[in-house]
Amino acid sequence: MKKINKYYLILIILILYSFIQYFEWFKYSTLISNFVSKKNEITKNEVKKRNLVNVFKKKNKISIEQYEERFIEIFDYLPNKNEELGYITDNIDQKDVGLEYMFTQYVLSPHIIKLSSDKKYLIGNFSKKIIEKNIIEDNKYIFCEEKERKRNFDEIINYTKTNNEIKNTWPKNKIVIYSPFLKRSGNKLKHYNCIKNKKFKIVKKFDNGIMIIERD
Amino acid sequence: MFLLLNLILFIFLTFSLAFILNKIVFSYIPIFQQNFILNIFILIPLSLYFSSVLYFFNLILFENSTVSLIFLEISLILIFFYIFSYKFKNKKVIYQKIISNKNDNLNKILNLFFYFLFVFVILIFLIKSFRSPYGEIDAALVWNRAARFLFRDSGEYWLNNFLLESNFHAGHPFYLGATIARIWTYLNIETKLAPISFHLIHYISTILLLFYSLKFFLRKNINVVISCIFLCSSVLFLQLSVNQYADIPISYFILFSFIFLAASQKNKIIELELFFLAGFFIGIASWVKNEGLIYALSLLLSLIFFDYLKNKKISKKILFFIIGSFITTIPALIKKFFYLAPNHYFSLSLKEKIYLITDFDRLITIIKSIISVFVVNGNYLIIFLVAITYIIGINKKADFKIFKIFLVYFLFSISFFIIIFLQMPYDDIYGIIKATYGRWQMQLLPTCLFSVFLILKEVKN
Repeated sequence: MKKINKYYLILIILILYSFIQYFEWFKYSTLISNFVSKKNEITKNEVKKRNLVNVFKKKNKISIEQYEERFIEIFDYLPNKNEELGYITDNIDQKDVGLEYMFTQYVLSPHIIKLSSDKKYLIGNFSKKIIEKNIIEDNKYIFCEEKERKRNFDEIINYTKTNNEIKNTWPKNKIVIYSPFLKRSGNKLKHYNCIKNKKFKIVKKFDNGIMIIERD
Repeated sequence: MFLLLNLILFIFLTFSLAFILNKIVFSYIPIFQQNFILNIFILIPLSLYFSSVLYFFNLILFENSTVSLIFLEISLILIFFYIFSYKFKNKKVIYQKIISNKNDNLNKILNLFFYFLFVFVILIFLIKSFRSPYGEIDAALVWNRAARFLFRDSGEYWLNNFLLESNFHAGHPFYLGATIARIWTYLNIETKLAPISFHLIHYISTILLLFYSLKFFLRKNINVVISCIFLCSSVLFLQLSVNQYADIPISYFILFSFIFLAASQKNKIIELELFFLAGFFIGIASWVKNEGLIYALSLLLSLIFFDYLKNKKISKKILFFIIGSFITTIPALIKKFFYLAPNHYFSLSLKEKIYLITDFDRLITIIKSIISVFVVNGNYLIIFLVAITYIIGINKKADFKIFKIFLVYFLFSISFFIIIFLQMPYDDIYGIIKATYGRWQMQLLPTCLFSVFLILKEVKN
């Protein structure tokens, strides 16, 4: 009797363990929440293959798939792969800007995309507003040019505080074009000098906000 | 048609290498040889290790020419075939029978539960991989990005990899990158199926390896099934695989190394060869991820520790372990020394470097963070593992050597990780430790289960 109890105890523990693990996973799973939110949308009459596929597909704010599509046309216009390219954007949301840069590097590999505006050719990863309102052509922006210096030791150790101080140097409520910094960007520290009337030569412009820009 | 022929060539070369490696490696653990198709499947990661190293050397020496790659791979298969024919062909293999208590009701239920879980996790793997075919961000930006650098433009610009910003971790070894790039090279397309199948193979191989290795050592079906249910139930283990992180491949090689160490306890006649193989497999971990070097060094130190306790000197078997691990560490060392990637720590001045390592406040913060992550981070796994161990009971007659080695190995690896955290010049060290903890736990989970179940009592009716 004692042995049988032990058997079932093992079985219960194993089932309980699996249940807890998978329950936690289900609770936070976007797949499950996707199903729950979509269940009202898919009625019996209109269960279509595409709807079902969409439920399974992950919806991130920014995804690599989107970036693959976003940059697909640019390859033909890029300079030689030995040339380091700069990267500028108008996105000042520090949460997404690093990710956008990293996806750009991933998609454009093996080109080297540096977080700098001090290169002959720059990749402009802009919002659609910049294209639609001809912001670059009409010079309706403020360009914040960065200068790099080595971080001192305190700035490396307290990098969150240092990063917040950098963010405060940008003009508020203006369209700012700049080369971002990453949350942890090694021993380099950026200082921004923001100026008006900086002109860029557009090599190629795409409707989705991507540009190749040549600096003087 | 061309794609199909390339696919057949790729599969043929990968499986041929795994087939011949199976003949050599598993001649030391005979029970595996009862099902050679299964053995080959389990050994595919080892075959992929050799192929990825060849891909790396082909890149350095022959600018990624496909012809030279095929030539190198066929040469390697022939070399292994030569070794097999001269050294292993006439080797006597003694098979051991597994005691299977299939009539037992609990055994039936547990077996069914295990098969259900196994199918279930693979199904989840496939669904989740369909949802995010690029894996998680780290995988895409570190390993799959490296694969793109190796593959695109015939490898001409792969050195650009080392000119990137430090956030891309170009210093990581090439096991994942080179293997995925190799598949793309054979197929001549950048298919997302390559990384997905790579990680699926490692996931299944690790579970099967734990299953069959414990079967070999315990010959008790129920205990083996319980350990594998534990592994399959660990969602993080599955998640890391779906994320396409390098943690599951590393766990596979650590487990394999411990299997050879355990086999060396059973068969003292071929102890030196088994220590060589244990070193060989743990050395491969350094080609998978940077912390692989930590794991190799930790295992070496723990073996020296026990050897020194027993004999007061370092014995010949340790030497064989070092030779084995050194051979497989060579590619990682070549990459580390000749292809330098940006590194935060090395860019600091000597004074700053010393300060980071020796700062007592940071050490306390790290230890506090480790303890807090350990206590707070929902450690169901440890709680349930302790509960199962308590219910089944410890077999006092069992050989505790492997379990002891694992514990010391665990302590050494923690110490090395603390040093790694100390040199990280960041203020959110708790966040980094929290993010690393789960992955580190999963890297050691299969080996932990293996060592624990070796010392448990037999569950029988």
